[in-house]
Amino acid sequence: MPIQVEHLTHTYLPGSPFSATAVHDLTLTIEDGEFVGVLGHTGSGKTTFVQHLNGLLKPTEGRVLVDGMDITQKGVKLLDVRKKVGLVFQYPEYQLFEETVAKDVAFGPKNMGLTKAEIEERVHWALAQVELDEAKVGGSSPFELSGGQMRRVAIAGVLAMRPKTLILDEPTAGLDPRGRRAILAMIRRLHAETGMTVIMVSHSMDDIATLATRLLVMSRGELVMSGTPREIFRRRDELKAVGLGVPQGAELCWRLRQAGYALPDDLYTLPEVRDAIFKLAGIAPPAADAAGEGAAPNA
Amino acid sequence: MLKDITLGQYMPGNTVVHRLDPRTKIALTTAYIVLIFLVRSPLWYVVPALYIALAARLAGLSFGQLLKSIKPLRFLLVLTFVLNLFFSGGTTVWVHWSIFTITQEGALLAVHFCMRLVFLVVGTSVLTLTTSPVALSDGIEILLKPLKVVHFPAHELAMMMTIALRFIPTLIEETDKIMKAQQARGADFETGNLITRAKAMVPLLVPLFVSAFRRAGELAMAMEARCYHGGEGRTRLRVLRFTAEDGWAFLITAAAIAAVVVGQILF
Repeated sequence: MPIQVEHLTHTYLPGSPFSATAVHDLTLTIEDGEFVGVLGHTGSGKTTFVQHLNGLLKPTEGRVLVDGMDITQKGVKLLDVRKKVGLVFQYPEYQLFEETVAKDVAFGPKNMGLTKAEIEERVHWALAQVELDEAKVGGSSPFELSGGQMRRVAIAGVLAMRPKTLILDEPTAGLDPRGRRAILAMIRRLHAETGMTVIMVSHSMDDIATLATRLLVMSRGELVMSGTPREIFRRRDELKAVGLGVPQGAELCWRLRQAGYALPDDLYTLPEVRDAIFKLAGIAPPAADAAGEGAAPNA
Repeated sequence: MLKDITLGQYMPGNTVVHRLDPRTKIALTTAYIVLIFLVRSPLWYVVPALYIALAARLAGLSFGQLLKSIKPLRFLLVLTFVLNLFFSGGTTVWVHWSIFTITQEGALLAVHFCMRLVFLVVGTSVLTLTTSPVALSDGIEILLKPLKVVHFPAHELAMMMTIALRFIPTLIEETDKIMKAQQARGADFETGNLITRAKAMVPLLVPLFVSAFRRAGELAMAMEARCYHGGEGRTRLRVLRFTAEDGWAFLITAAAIAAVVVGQILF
């Protein structure tokens, strides 16, 4: 079942002199199994928007349906919504609190009222998903780990609830390039293997370019663009106008075309741009290509 | 919901009262408190009333804003009134019913103490309504400086106040965020009895303390990186200066005190 958002508007402190509308009249549907990238400049309403999807914020106007459940309705148990939609906050490592990694990951399943055996099984599964060795780190304090490891533990804490939809708010913020790549590869694998719907908020075009099957671009609380990465990244000028850019591949391609080279206008991943350049120059592209993170997602 | 909390009650503005030196305002508020305690009979509260009315008028504060400052005090006021009314003793009995006796003296005393409380709170809130927290701690620092002789850490105290004030909104925001993050993992902060609720606070408090200590460490480092070494030889960005307006304010306050003192002796 999809997530439906209908005319969602959210105003902070309505009626006071400090009232501010963070999201304005948003209507969209997120289908099962999609990988949606939410892009937008700082303050564009991305975070406010995703916090509605598991009922952390209530719409000022409009409604949000998760699996047909209207989160604005009184009778709906928010815990049921939160079981379905897991939200990993920005800098999630700051939410860790338990004595051990395993206990912290167990926090979500415990709140769901699962049995001890089930909880253990889920902790085991979740830590494996984030590529942490339970035997090694399970018993240690989360505060002894490195920043990247702490972030994995925090993500595992949400995964352990086995949500159908996983929302990640800027999952790579503040990580070094290696940590960033590792987290992105992990998210890619999670999406491919579990088939869960993934919604990733980011302002990094390069992070999202190779992962998402659909992009939503927000500006000043409104949805300004929606489409596949290939459709969106062709609209460089519009993206620039809302304070965003295009991935490196698309930028390179654009500059070359400005300089008079006849390259197609819808390329955005580095390998495809490289191949196009080779083709234009009449040189055979190198055969070996470790597809990896450079490749476009299979939409 | 947590964001609704506003820090202090400062109402930005650019009136004479806002412009007064914070030292003047602190000193005058102290003088005003003395003035209130000099008043011996309820009738003479007309002087502080006029004084506050003038200050509020000049500061552009509405009657409602002043009234709002008494609101948290309403239970204390009722209690003070009732206790004084019934249990002050006295000779001129108005009403007598079982253990309750209302005397003229008791009634006067009840009114007197309630007025005193109301004027104290209203007067000090004129100070906090028109002075920003930073200006206040600046003023306090300079006023406490003479106490350095007895090794009173005036600068450190003011610096701590400023830092604490600065971090209240940050910590509120942080609390809000951690609360949401734990709620996303199914935490429940709202239901259950006292013990379950206290237990539910652990996932909120631990990360909050961890982050507060982290912030404190980072701030200390950032201050040292900018050569902070305590108050010794430190100059200020905004140097406080007395102006003619401060002179007038002192004069008016002195007049009010004189009016009460002389008036009560003569009449």
